[in-house]
Amino acid sequence: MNPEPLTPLVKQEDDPFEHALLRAGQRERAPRGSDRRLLAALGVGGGGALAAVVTSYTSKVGGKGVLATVAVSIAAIVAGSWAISPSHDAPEPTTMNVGPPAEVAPSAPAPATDGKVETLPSTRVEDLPSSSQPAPRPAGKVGSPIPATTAAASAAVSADDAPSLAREVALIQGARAALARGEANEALRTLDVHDREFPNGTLRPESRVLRIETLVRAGGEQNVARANVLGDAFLAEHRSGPQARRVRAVLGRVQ
Amino acid sequence: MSSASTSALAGADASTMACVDDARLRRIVRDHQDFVWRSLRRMGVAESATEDATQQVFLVLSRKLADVSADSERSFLFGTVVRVASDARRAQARRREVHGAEVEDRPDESPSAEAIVDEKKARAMLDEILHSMSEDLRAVFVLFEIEEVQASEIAELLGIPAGTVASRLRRAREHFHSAANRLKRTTRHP
Repeated sequence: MNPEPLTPLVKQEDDPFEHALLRAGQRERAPRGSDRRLLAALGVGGGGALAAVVTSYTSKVGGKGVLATVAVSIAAIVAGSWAISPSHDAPEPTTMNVGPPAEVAPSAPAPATDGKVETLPSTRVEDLPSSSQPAPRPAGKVGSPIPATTAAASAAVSADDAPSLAREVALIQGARAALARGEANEALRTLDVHDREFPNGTLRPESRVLRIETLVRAGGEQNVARANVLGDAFLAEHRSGPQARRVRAVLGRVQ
Repeated sequence: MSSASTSALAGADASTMACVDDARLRRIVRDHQDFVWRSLRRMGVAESATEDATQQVFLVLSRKLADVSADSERSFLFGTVVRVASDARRAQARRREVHGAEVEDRPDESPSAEAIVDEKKARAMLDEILHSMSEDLRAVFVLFEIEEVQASEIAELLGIPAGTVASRLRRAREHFHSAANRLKRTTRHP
């Protein structure tokens, strides 16, 4: 004989007081916005992670005008990095007319070239500015939850930063578009401009990852070696998260 | 196949796996975040600490993702909830020792009958009752009465025999009825 199936108290004709307590417990939900912060803490979907910060920020400033545009653009850039990433959709370029990489400090002006480029400008690892600003992905601290009480605060950005952010967004978008077109040299030049203008910029990690991807796509022994060095440096600072996974995936192609 | 082609394929595989993991984590968060949140609250985590605790639970899952099969995600999450909640309760107890009695999430001494309709107060009363249960009873009660998980699944989730689930649920209900009656008697009626 089968035992009588158990029925939860809330489905029985019982005490309304008990029902009220149990139903109140059942109706509780995670607060709105906590899912974005959670995904950010997990480092899932860079766009989502940064979007969490950006959304939080824009909600503070009202999400108007250029700030809202910048916010959406940043989220789109980072989210789009997977879609545009050469490790996913873009085909490998069959030929790249590039030479050995030149060591260019971030403060040096980008070489003014037209058309063909003999050298691939890149940045020495030792010249990479230390990340004194928080990375856009709040999960930079490996394995540590983002305190709920500080998640929103971490997104606090002065309204004066909007033009800078817009410029950063434009540069990263330009570099990524160039890479998607297979123009690695142009992408690297644009990244150099970004790094020179924003050595501690909000999108600096994205710039570093994009540079690694670009060097790998450019191919050639020296470019790949440079990508590995930059990748190792990046992974030493960012051991987990979508950007670290991207770097590992990209480097995995050349190891 | 050239070594370059092989390494390119390996890179593509790694990249694909990363995408798959991300997609899976997003789905798990979407499907189970409320469950984890509620379970943490009912297992005694203060509301102010629940978001951090939720992140801890999912961080643990993300590290073990490859080892957790799709049909055992909820089981893994609840097992982690129990451990994280236990740590959180101890931390809350330490804070109470340092700062005195914690008033957060405590019901009023004698709430009016109307206050029962106040969700927050009702939840605080529920949590007060759950707080007085042992962890074993509490876990079964929360899963069955709040999450409405079937007894057979609870047995799997907690790794205990179905008969143990039934006996714990019976004792938990007795405790709940008794505590609810006490609360009801002390509830101030208009």
